[in-house]
Amino acid sequence: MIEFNKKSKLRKFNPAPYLMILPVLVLLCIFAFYPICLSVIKSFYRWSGTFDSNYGINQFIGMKNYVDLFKDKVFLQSWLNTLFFVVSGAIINLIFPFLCALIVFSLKSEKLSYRWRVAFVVPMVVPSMVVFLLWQFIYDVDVGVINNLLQGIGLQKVDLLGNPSAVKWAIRFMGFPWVGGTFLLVYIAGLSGIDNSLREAARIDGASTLRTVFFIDVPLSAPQFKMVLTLSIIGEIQDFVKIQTVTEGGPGYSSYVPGLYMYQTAFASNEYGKACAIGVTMLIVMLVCSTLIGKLFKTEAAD
Amino acid sequence: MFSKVKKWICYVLVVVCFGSLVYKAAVTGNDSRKVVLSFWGTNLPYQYALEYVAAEYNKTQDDFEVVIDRQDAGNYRTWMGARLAGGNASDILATTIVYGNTDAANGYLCDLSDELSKPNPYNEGEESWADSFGGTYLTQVAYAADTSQYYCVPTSTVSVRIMINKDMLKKNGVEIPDENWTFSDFRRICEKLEAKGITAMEIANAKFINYMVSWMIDIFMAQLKYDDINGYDRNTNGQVETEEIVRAFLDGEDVLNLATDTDFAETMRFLKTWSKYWGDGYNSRSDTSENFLRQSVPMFFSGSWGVSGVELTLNNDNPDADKTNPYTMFDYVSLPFPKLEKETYIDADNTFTFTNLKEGLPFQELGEPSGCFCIPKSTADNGKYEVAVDFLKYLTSQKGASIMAERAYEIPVTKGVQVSEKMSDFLPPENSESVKFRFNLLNLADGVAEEYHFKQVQNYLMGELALNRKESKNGRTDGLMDLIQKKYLEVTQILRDDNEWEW
Repeated sequence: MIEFNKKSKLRKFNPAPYLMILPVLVLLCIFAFYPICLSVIKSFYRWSGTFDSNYGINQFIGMKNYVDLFKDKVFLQSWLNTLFFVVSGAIINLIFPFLCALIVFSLKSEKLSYRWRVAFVVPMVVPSMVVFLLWQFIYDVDVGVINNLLQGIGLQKVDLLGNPSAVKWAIRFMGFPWVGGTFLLVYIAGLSGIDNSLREAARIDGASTLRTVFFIDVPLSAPQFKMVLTLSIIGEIQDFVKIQTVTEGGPGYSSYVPGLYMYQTAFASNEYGKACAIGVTMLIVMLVCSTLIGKLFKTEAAD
Repeated sequence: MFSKVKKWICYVLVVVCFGSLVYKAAVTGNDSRKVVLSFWGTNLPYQYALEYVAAEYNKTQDDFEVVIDRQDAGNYRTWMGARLAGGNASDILATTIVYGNTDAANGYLCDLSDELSKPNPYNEGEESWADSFGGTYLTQVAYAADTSQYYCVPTSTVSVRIMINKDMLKKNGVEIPDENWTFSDFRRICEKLEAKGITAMEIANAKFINYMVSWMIDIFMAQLKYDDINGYDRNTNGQVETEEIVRAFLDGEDVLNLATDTDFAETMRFLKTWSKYWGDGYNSRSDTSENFLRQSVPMFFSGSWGVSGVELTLNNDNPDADKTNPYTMFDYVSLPFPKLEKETYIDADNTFTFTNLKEGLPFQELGEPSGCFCIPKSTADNGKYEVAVDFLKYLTSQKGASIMAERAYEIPVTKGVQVSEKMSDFLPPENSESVKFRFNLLNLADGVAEEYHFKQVQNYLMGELALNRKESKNGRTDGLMDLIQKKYLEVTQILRDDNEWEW
């Protein structure tokens, strides 16, 4: 009897799904998990990036990379700058794309609503590098649009990218009016998922449009807000391409961020071990932020 | 109708994908006979000249073909480092002395010292390839940790000058200066132009790669610390290399201390005072050639490598060029960077007294080996080492160097090669010396340290950082000089320990 059960269990086991998922799992291990594990291990080393034992430096130094980083004023300033970008980015991403999504969603004509959605998504196909260079050109002190306009009306030139107190705001302003892209689609999807009978019931009870938005659309879009907040924070911590392209973290260290520091440490100084330590620090901060958001903003979808 | 269109789009996409795969396979199949030389920059005449040299060389080759590949200047080091680490670098790579030292230490490059002791078949009457190089240009690129080894060879040298739009100066009633002009003369000319609302010379200081401020620090320090710097050049090869810089900071009782160095303090104060005339927003400007070429700024601080770009745009030698175009047709002259004097004038309120100044130095501004090339070990693994070396011998031969001098306005380091007429101004003066010591935490194989220096100087020029502790707001916070000295000590101590240097 027992033997029969075993056989039936064996007969029931179908390896096909496991085999199908295996290539993806192997690739994931090679290209995602292995580099993460290697980074964590190498963050305890002084490592010049070579795997050839005859050359370069590959020396275990314990926590030294981390201790050096936390004594390093440049590293600490880069995190302060990141804090600015994280907070301002979160505010922007929580408000502007949602307002836009509300407007697009509330359009009576479905055709028009679809066209607006397309219009907002189309700019996503423009490579981000082009957008960054365009904004750099807009801010240019000699030939930029802003300075030409200011001079046209008899005002002094402003050096937005060369002024330590203005540069972070100038970088933040890039991408104005911050409405297009993935977050808009997330909000539209969220608004579409809300049962329309709730809005109708509120309207019958005499609720104004504003009250409907605040008491139905906003609370019921909480899972979307949570997702956008998480993605926004992770994106802001990771992103350094924009800064490297436009200011290289300057002037001074006014717009320097940990991602850029990691990149420079690895590729300009061959200090791959220290760069790994910066990367691991970033990973930990992102994990802590994501977990905190998960805990603080519990939503039905998450539960 | 719509589904038909979709179907056709799918067909086209499949064909394009398949076609590109086949094309890529065909191209890769040919790679085994190609020797790829990669360099960085936006200098098109340099690229064309290299391509011409390669084409001339290829005529003599049956089995291999040298191909020139230009990479983005800003990301070249990242690209090069990643390729070298991955073992798939180009067969010949443009490099610098510092990059060469770092990559050699990591075991990525081939040692060329054996090859340098063999003759260069493209030059007659020389015992060895090493004999092809003039002056001390070759010994200056020797491996820092073992000077008997060479991991790269130079093809040219560089110098920085000030190019002057003669037409614009004449138009504004300013006499064209001669090459003996001093900094005070330079500033008085600038003042005449500034009185008419013209920025006389812009400086770009947005990005580390601009180097303008770092050149000026080196040029000024070379005049103010002349005797000390000569003392640091212990092997007297005309350049203070990595080990000598480390010794300057760590060896002996009379070590270099930039935190208390009066010459360094004077240089930085001088730069800061002068910086108000560099044009609005110099800390966010990364190019000054554009306004010079547009004739809105009459002077342009440029390296010798900038001449090709100016020539390409001005097109003065082209008989078919539009001679009536006011934005591109003008006459210019290039002069040496003006020398300091004991009493150097900046403006009516500021005249600097340099007590340690060495006057009358016939030195070439910069003058270090440049246009270096190395061969990665992966080239040898792919069986292309011999042809890569052979091409470098051709490139550094009198024939190859002449082509580069004539077509790319290079200043060759190969003996017996004439420079282009346009570059005659840039040639080192008789019995001249180069700027031996690169301050700015340069030549220490640490890009983050170089960036640190650049950014702290930016902070100082913007008034965000005091010059030293005494001048800080509370009298205790580190100023620029303290921070730079600390960084120098940190980096040089690591280098000394890593290389086990003992003196």
